[in-house]
Amino acid sequence: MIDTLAASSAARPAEWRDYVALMKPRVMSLVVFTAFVGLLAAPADVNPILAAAIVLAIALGAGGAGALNMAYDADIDAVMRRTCARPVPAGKVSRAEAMTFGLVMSALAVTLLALAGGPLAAGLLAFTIFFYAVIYTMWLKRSTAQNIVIGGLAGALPPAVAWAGATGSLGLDPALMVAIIFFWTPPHFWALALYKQGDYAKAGVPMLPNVAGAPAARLQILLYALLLAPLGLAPVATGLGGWLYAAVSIGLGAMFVLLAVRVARSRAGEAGTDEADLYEVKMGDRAARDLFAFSILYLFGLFAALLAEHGLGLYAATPFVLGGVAP
Amino acid sequence: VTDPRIQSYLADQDAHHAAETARPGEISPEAAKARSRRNVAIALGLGAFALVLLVVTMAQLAGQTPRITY
Repeated sequence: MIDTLAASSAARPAEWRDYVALMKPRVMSLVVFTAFVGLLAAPADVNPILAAAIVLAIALGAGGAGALNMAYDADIDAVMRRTCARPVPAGKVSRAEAMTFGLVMSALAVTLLALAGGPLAAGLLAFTIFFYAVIYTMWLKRSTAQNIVIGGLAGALPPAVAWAGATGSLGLDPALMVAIIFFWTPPHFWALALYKQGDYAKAGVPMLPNVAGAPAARLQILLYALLLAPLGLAPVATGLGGWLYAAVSIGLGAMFVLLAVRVARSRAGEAGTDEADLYEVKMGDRAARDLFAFSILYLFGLFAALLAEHGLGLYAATPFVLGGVAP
Repeated sequence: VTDPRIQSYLADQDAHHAAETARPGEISPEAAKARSRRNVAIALGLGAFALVLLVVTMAQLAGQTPRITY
């Protein structure tokens, strides 16, 4: 594998695509999407130029944090089939270059957000980058099976950052959006870790299925799904979500729980899947793969419903808004 | 991760990049071209960022400046 990587790196010097790859564009797209929804749902009339700058700053911040993560995790990425083609382990970009790129992007992002969204949003973005690059990447990821539970906070904060940029304050609604992503993260990543156990074991990353075993991971996935489904409905109680959101949340939440029950009753994580493709699995691991794929749709669906309600004028209040918590 | 082959490979990559940076006259034409393209991209990126800061500043000022009516 290393020879192959060396040969490929010798064949082509770094190009702009490699720097785009350093920013983890797939992760960034989810971050930008949830942040955009947070911005639209915020009760503030934001200048479109400032709104665009806030989203751009959050995207740059996510990209910077991704580059810092890739710089530090080059040794882990090099041994995992899923990540060995990333720019640093593939030898296209050096660790020092990736680190510099990440730091510069992060500094630019925080500067831009301070100007466009104010000090609270900028401070929150700086905290998010620090939390992801230092607390999660350098510390938690290699030391505890709860790595993605605690580290998930970094991926959950973008809607709150955008909300703070739009309103200059925080409240219950952005906290709920953060909580939904926070509790969504463990079942999402543990479902992946169930059928990528071999990869994580080779790299020495203590993911829950490797440390506690597949049965314990399957149970934890179910417990988190049982927490997540009602939490996904909570925005209806504050008035953040209307009828459309309520319907989407109930439907997707029920499906999420059903798939988690299927995982819990299966022997996922024991089939020995070792395929390079993200979604390719052996028969016994299908339940975990299906939950992993659906979890992406779940989060996208919830935030798309909020987007449709607050961005396209489809919001219709439900009678379930609790007194005293409406925004 | 303690696989010495991986550590050695990454160290080699860093050494390769360091050497490339330290002796610009000795890099291959292809690497020189790639570096040139990177330099242009960095310059364009910084220029674009400065422009974004200008536009955002103008937008903030426009929002804070009271309109004068005659």
